[in-house]
Amino acid sequence: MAKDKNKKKKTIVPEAEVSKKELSPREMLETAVDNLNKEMEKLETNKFKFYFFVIDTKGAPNGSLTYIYETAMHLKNKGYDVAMLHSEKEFIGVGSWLGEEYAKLRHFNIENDGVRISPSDFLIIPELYSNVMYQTKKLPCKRIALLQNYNYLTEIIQPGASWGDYGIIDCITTTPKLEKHIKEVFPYLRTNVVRPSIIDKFTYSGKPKKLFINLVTKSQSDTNRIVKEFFWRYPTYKWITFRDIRGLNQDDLASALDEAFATVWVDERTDFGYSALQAMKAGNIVIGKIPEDEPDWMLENGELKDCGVWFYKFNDVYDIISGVVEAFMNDKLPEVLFTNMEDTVKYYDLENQASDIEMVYIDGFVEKRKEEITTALSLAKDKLESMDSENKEEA
Amino acid sequence: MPVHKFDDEVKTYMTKAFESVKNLEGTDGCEFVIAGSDESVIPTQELYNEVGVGLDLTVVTDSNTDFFTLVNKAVYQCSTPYFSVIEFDDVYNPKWLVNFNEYSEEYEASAYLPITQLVNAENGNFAGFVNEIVWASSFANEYGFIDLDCLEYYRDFNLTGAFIKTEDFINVGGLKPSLSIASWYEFIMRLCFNEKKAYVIPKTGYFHTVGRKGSYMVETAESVTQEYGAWLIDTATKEYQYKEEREIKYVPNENKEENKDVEGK
Repeated sequence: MAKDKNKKKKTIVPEAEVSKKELSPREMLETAVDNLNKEMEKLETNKFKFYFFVIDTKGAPNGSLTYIYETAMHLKNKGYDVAMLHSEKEFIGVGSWLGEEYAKLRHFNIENDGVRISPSDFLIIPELYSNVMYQTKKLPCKRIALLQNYNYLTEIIQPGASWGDYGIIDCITTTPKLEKHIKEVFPYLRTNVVRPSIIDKFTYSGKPKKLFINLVTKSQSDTNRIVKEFFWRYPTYKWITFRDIRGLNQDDLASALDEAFATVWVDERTDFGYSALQAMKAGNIVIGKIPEDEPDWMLENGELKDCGVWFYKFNDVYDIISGVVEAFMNDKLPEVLFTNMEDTVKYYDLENQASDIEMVYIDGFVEKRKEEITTALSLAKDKLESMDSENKEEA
Repeated sequence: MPVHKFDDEVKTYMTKAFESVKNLEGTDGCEFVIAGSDESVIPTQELYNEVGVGLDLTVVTDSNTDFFTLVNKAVYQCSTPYFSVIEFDDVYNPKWLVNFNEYSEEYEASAYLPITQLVNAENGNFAGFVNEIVWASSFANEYGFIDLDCLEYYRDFNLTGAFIKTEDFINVGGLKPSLSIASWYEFIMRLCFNEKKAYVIPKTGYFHTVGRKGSYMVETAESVTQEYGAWLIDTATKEYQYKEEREIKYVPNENKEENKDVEGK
């Protein structure tokens, strides 16, 4: 059977039907006022939607994706309508590692499911989706860029293009540092910070720690190098158990972190460092390579904070591991380290994130959208009145 | 603390051992037992008081100054639920008792061994770890726990410094002095055989001096031939199933065919 070449590809489309009948200017204005009133009603009765674009990591845990789903879930729990958008033929989703309740959020494939968007809706587009920013330029909804990883932004966007070219002037980011950075390159952006949270699943149960060292690295070769070279340099510690915790689902990850006393963390290009904070929250001493761009939480007054044991040169890690092991075994780990760890992760708890979400999304974007529609309505009504006056005069 | 002799060298080491007991955190409710011959316990007791350890002291005397006999005798005097043997030339880590309390709340066992640091008697340098092996991946069936499976091919566990449940020690039969250098090994197998657990707390709890000339273990090891030593280990692997100490005669190699004379006690 021949393909129907005339069959249009389903994608994201405006909700309002465009009438084929030719309307007079007055009729067009009246239709616009009607539509604006409907959209305003949706905003006031919470009938609008938050749409979040997500990637599919095919079952691999991902901090950035967790952030998006946590935001969506929080808004849903507050009574707002949320939906997740993707463009995967076979969408695996987050059920296996984040939890079924997140997987059960409504998901739509924009290629097949034909999503309808209205002016009162909000479309949140991660930095990775420059193409979606471009494709959705003419949609009537409020589009907001979500910036979590600056490297993703520069990897995908076309040289010479900017978010402004795609009509994006609003941005949510996760740290003040990222906010500052994006405003340096896109100064026209209106920016907001919604900090991530380290969910309560990651916690220290209080059980005595076991002599395990977790490893979180961006590449397998780093893991191999750390373990093998450590045993060569410190053969008296050949019995230490190292555990590679990359790729574990959230439950297993939380359990592994709770058990171990230390985590070695190497991720030089991260903008935030979820893994390090998760480890800290579970009471692990983090032995971390300082990323190229230090996350905000790692610094205090411009200096490295004593909430972990940090190193610049890779080869320093071995001596540090040995020192931390000895300190653990002899109960010589400084108390101030644990105090600083607690202070650091406290800033990223669910309560603080919830507060940011409500402030930015509800008190910010939704209220701002109401103002915009109110202004548009007012202008349209003024125009109608002016038309009526003109007609009367003519009569 | 079993004491088989007392001289100036012993006094120097013993002072450090007593000071380490004094420096242990959390010793409320603890007691101290000195076990040895009349000649050794008197000066030991004097030194104990001089250092000012401060725990209630019990003194047990026995003309038999064999280490394992003295341990048995001392344990029978214990009124506390757990006991720990400290050799007079070893020291505790100040946090050892606190760690024992913390880990024993969470992990159930009859014996809680420390990771022991070996200290070279000649120069005081670090000479290795003992008991750490159960924390290596793929060694034990369960991390931290010693069981019969791992005892089948590994026997170098050191139980001095460990906290052992007094009741279980007595119920499984205590130590068997006739097995000499294999006594602790046989005991821990017997403990596991009786479905009691032994757990290694992943903390340095004890510092054990090795290679000191004149020490009980060095003298005993020097007096044991390689063949006899192997026989002791082999006997231990058979005897752990018996609570009572059975009289087993060792006959040197040339009379190997006759080396199976066993009398039950």
